[in-house]
Amino acid sequence: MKSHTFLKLFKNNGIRLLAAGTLLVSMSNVSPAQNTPRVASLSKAEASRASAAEQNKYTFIMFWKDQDTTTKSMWSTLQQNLSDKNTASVVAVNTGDPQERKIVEQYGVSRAPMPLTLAVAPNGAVTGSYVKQINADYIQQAFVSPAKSRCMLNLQNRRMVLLCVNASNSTGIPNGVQNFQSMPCYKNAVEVITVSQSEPTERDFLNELRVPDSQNSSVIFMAPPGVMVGKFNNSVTSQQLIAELKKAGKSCGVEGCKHCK
Amino acid sequence: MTMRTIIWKEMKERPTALIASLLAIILSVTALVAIRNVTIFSEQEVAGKLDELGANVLILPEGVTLQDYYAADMHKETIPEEHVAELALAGLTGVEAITPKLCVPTKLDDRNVILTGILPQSEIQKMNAWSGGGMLFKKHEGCKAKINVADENLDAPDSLAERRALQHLNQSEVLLGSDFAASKGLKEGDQLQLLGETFEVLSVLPSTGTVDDSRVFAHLHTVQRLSGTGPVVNIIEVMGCCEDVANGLVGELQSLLPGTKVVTIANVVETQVSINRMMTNLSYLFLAILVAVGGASMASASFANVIERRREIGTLMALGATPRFVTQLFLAKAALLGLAGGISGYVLGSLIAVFLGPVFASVAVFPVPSLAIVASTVAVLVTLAASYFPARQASRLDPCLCFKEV
Repeated sequence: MKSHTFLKLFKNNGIRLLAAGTLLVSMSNVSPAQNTPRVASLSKAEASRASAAEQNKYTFIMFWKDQDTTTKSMWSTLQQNLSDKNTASVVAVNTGDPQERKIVEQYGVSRAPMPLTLAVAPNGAVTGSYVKQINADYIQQAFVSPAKSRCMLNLQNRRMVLLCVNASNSTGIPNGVQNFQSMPCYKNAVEVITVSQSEPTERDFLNELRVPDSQNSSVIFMAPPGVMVGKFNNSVTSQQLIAELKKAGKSCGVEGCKHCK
Repeated sequence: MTMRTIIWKEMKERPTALIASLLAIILSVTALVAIRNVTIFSEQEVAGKLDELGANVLILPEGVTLQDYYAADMHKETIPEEHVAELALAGLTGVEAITPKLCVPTKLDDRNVILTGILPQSEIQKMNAWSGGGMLFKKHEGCKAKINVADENLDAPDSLAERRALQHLNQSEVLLGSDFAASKGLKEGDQLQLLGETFEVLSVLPSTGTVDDSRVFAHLHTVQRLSGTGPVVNIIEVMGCCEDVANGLVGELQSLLPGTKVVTIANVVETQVSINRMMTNLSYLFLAILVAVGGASMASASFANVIERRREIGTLMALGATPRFVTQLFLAKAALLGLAGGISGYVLGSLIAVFLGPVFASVAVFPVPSLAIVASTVAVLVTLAASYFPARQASRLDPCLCFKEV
């Protein structure tokens, strides 16, 4: 009786069962096979950075060539200021080490003056770079708010940022920003980031941007490498944003921003 | 006998005096025209260069003397490539692009060629962006707002010719100057061998009219590896925002990179401008010489002429010629000489400028028609002024006294 029921079930749902079975088998076999080489291929520094990112921690990567006094001094300052912190990990990378070649190439620092320390946020943005000298203040400045690190990452990837600062009673993205973002020539070149004005962790960042502490929402328009294109209220139109962008693109010897001409 | 006949006969009978007077005028006008002509084209060249280059800064090894902007990298002195990263990491406001270059002379099929190593902007901007190009989240002012959004137009290889900076370049790719590509019949996608390595032609650059047209551009690190120079460069070109260059960027660069020479295009142009200024002053000096020597020579010749022709003047006046006619006679002769000297001087001066301008001032020079009018007018005015007093003296001669002398 039981076998008859199974046969009937298989007959009615045979293809589905086969597909589900195949999927289960493939997941159990492929997943470890894919993970193993990826983890194994990471260098010590890359693994440290990946692990720190997973734990939402910053990574301070000190690139060095020679173990001279400057290198030792920088390493010692990093250790003193970060060893007891749960928010960051420190790793030293010898630029001559073939195993670390990938991370050296990734940051393009093979010909940079050494020692060089980069502060890398959990999202991958470089929030600080220090050549030959570093101190407690510099280290502290490298820790930025989540919204700032998102802005920095996009700017470092040569993308524009529209930061929508929402007042406490409002949410969402202004229409002008949505229209701008939906334009074919801008959609891949702009990132819209929203942040609440009342968010305590973003207070310093918003002060740095001189966002007015008002009841109204505002839009901050930034372009790479770190140009403040303009500040607008939430009634800004896409045409205004385009006009400001074109104005900002004007420079020496260049006929303005050719982007989206 | 008309005035024209009298003047013609007078000049025909005394050719030596005529040639001496004419020569003084011609030489002075020639010098004036030649110098002015070269100055005009030199000034145009400077204006063109400024327009083309905007505000540029060159970072050179300390011992290098800058002779030619476009060939500023053609020397054997080097500076560490490390300076490029220092510049990018410093995030100085107003630095729009950094282009290091290393030049290596080599040969391709027995033809000498300069292989120039350049570093694509993508590799520099990465570091520059860490500090937000020195203006992270600051409100932009004027041309400090150079933005750098990923853009296929600005990222195209041709931008090297226009902006003297290139966004992307692989280690196995080369860009060819237009003249070099034409002479070798190479085009995009072709392959060529340089220093024992095979490269693919990424693009042929549009003609710029500079030494770049005969060069081959490859990735800096490839050129360093193949030439065995190590991580060094001959020059770092910095595209600086004009306002910032004027407002202290050069000072910041000098303090950031001690042991290097920081030269702005304004300095380069300053040399050319000072040469132009000197040449303009020289042209004024020759104008003064024209007035002094030409005028004195003409005045002296005219006085001598009046004394020598006392009898003829007396006879003319006895026959009814008025003092006005006598004055006009001398002044007309002077004007004729001035006009002939001015035109001849213009022709000779223009020829000298056209042939010697490119040699001495490194600019292509062409005749300036307006100078013909200026030269002739000045020459005529000088000769008229110089002949005025002798002519007046002649017109005041007493015919009786002249005949008495006879």
